[in-house]
Amino acid sequence: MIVFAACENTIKYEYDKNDGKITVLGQLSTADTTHVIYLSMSYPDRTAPLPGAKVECFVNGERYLAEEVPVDQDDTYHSHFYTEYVFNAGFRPGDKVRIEASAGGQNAWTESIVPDPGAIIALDTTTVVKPIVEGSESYDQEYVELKVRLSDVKGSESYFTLDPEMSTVETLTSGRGEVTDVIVNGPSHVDFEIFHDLILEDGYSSGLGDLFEDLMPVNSMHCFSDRAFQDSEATVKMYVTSDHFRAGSGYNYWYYTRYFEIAAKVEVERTLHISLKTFDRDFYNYLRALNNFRCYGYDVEPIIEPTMLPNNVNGGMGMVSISAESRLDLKLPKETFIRGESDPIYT
Amino acid sequence: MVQATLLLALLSASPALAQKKVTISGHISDSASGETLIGAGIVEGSSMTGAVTNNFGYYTLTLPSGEYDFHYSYVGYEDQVLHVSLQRDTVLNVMLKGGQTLSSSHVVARKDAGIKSTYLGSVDIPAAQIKNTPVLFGEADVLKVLQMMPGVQGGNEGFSGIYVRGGGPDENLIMLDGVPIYNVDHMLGIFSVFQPEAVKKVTLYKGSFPARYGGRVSSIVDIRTNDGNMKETHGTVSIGLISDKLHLEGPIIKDKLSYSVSARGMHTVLYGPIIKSVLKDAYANYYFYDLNGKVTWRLSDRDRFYFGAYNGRDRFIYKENSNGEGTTTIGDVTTYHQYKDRTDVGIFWGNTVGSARWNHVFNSKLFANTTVSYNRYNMVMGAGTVETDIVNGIKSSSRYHLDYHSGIRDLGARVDFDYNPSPQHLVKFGSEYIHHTFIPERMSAVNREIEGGETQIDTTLHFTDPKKRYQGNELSFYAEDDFSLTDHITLNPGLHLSMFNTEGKTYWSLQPRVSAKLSTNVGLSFKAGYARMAQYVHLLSSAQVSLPVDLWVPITKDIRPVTSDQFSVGAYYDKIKGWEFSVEGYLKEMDNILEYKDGTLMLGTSEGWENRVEMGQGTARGLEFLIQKTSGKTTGWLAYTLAKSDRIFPDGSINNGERFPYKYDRRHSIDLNVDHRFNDKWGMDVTWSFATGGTTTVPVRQVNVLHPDGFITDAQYVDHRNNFRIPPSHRLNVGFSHHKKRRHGERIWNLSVYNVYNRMNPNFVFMDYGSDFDSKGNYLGTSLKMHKITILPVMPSLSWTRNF
Repeated sequence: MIVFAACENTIKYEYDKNDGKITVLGQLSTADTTHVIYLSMSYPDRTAPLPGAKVECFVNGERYLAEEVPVDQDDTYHSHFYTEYVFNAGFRPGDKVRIEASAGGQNAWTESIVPDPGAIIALDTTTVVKPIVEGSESYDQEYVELKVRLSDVKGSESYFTLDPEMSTVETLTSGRGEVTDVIVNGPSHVDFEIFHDLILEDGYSSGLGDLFEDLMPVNSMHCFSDRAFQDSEATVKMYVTSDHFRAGSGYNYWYYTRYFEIAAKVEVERTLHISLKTFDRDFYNYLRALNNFRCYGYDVEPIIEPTMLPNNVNGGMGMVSISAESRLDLKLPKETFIRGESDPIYT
Repeated sequence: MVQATLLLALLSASPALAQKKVTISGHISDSASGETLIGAGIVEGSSMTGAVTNNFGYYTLTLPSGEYDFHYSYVGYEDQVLHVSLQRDTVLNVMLKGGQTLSSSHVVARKDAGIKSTYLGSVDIPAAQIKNTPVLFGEADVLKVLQMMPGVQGGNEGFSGIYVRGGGPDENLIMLDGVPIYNVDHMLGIFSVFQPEAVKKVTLYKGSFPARYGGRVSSIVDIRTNDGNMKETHGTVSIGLISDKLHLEGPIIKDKLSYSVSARGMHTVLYGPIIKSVLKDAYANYYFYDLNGKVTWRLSDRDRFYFGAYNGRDRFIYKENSNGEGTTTIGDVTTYHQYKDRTDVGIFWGNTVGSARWNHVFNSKLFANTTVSYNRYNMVMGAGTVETDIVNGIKSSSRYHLDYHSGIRDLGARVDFDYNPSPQHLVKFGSEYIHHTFIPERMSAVNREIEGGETQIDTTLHFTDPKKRYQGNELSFYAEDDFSLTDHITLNPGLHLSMFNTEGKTYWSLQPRVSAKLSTNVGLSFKAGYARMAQYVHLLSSAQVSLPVDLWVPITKDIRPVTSDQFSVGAYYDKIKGWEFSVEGYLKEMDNILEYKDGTLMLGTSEGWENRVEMGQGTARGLEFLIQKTSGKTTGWLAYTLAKSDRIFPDGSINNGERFPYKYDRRHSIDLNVDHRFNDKWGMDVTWSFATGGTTTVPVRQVNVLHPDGFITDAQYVDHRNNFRIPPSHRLNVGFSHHKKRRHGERIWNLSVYNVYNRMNPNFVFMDYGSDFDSKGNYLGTSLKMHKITILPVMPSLSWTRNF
């Protein structure tokens, strides 16, 4: 009866369609020298790109002018949302970095100090098998466990992301023994799992077999705080499926053997990079907001407590972060694929 | 004609002395049923010294020996005056005769609630008032009447949740005969679980809480049920739009042993089997029911026993069957196959409460009540399929079943003493212990497959630890003294000490409570009070309505108890007979109050809940005005509340650390309730409510967000939590009743109309993009639209009741 009686009506809601605010976005890093700032205009009902703006970066007062990246005419998706501005500069911990953007009579700026980086002290790997439950099914999955020893930044409240990346160098050799091509890939992100690691979960569900896991956000941005190891060290564990570590396994094997049409031998050298980025609380909260968006979507839902995006841009909106990055590289055994051989040779 | 039973008993052997202090005590009951009356008054005529009955109808009054005229009175009953030569401790049980209309009661001292008590923010609501108030579908509802009191509001329009003085829905201790009830809602909160037919009296405390109560920070709702008619058997049958009701009470042994049973159920309880027999292949049904039972045993004037039980459930069932058969021929091979599939889904949730009470009068000055109780709330959800295939006579079957279960079980023991050492003092003290067992959720799945008689798969998966449960031990002690400092000043200092132990951690809380009342000879009185409260359990829920998957959880070693400190003052006037006027102001500071972090959804899981909430502070303040007409053919009240409630989470995790309005912050509330009896046959009840809209969060603009992988997308941007005020709600409810005396009892027709002028009050609001067109229907573009969903427009209802 109640279902039949219920009805929907519109409530008067007034807003200014042309109330635009400049939005500045950027994720800068000490590991990079080329940086991108994304500008757009935010309106109550839409966003719009912001070409023709003036974007400047000041590092300890030294000015770097950003250039607008021309719109790729084929990339109609991006051109509807934002405009890219690029500048070159290097950052070191302690630098004062200020980004200024002005367009359409609006001036926005953000300023922050490059933080001191946390450190990766050690990395151990081992192969483990974990049971995976998916619905009513369960199976065993082989993982490489990455046991990473971290050191906090002393004397400050710090926030991090920890990401494994893989880079690959493929060397193709002809039947006459001549190197015909060297292909460099990456570094690119490697997906990993967390099995109830309190530091890396950072209060989120692990997403593995938890009740109502689809209803709960997971830490898909891999951000965490130093609450559990303030001014000290901690060991965290990430799990990467073992096929990432063997070029000769499964799909990867067929990927490399396709080169046998043009080469007699393929040598694959892979390097695992563990990247630890250190940043401030604003960006940490921003990443947590993105976790929520990934789980629940990007619109406000009445039943879910609304996600509020932090801002660190004055005179406008947005988030410009600066991360101090430290890395640890692990060279994996070289694999050699020889035409006619069924298994790769590990050296 | 007034009936009175005068029992004199020599309880003291002290030598007779001039002006020695003696005590008169006893029970005050309804003359027709023998039902004890809670809050009935006894006043000595010349000195206006008085007392009121406690929750078990017992009173005690100490005076110098002498000749007295005692006035016995109770709202809705005829007064009775008895002349007593009081020379020694005396037991005097009095029976009052009920009237047709609410009458005014004499001024008495030490009422436990209301304008005449020492406590601020307290109100007694007699069962008659609840039954007369017109509400949705003609179903009188205890909690919806409470919503009409100043300082109390409903959460979602038309639903029965209560929010008291800026507090949350889980901050109200709602007790049935002294036993806390966790789930108080049926049908997502449209009805409460309390049957008005079984209720004797409801008392609400929202300000200066008596020291005997604890465990919640915003309000105490003390609901007392009928003991049962000690004289003769009576009953009520009622058929309404939604539910049917049956109430029976009567003596098992006249004046010694009585029973009272009440049953209520949706029509679908009865019609379910019929529907099922018609719809064999696909059947769905929802219903709720409540069963109340009570046995009262008056062993003697010193000892009385009460055994109470309650069971209430909501049930949703869905079943689907399909079957078939056929043959398949491939080449020379013909296969004959049959199949049968069955799907069952069921959700059941509700409370089971049992209690045993022993009243013992040690002597005319010391009364004790001892209670042991059992309280269980559980929710079970199951879904399963069974598939059976027979191929050429070879049978194979598979079964998959999913079970979800959550619940709470409390075992409690409590002892309360009333000690009346002198006319100036009424001391209450006692202790309570509750052992809580919380099972936040358990989920498991069973998969079995049998082929040709051999088991192929037999797996049980536990998604949560099947043994996981939280234990909590709650112990409290209290003492309070309601004493008259002078003829015009009464004080009620009290202390409540509570301890909660869980996960190896023990929290202690010392909660001072104090109330003071200054009376004048011109009918004006003033009160002031302070109360500290602590709360050890929380309700996890994201929904704006009551859902079966809402979970109660205890505090943990990381989540500290919520505390509140409330200061209140009030002024009252009752010189005009049958009228009461009051104004009260309060300031409530709450600490360790919980709020869900951004992006939090709390549905059906407590997993890691400590990490999804944040502890902060809340402030609520307000002014409450109440005009009540308590006697005559027309009774009712007009209430106005001016209130403000907000929250702050200084660590910045919610609303960037800035103060924001509470979800149910409503600046203005007006409630009018008028009950008029035209004559013995016709009555009319009118209620009108207005409330400023609560708050909700809406996006104010679209914005780009940048992901670490370089991906950019659009998102809705929120500048502040609860940044939009929902439009105000108001509605008029009208009910007419026609009473006709029959040879045995009475027949009542009741016609009610809920939301008479069909006001489209918002239950939910949301925002989306809609298309705009001009007057000619030309498309103009898209724009943001705010929508409201109204669940309860105008709703007429009719009910038939037969009392016998």
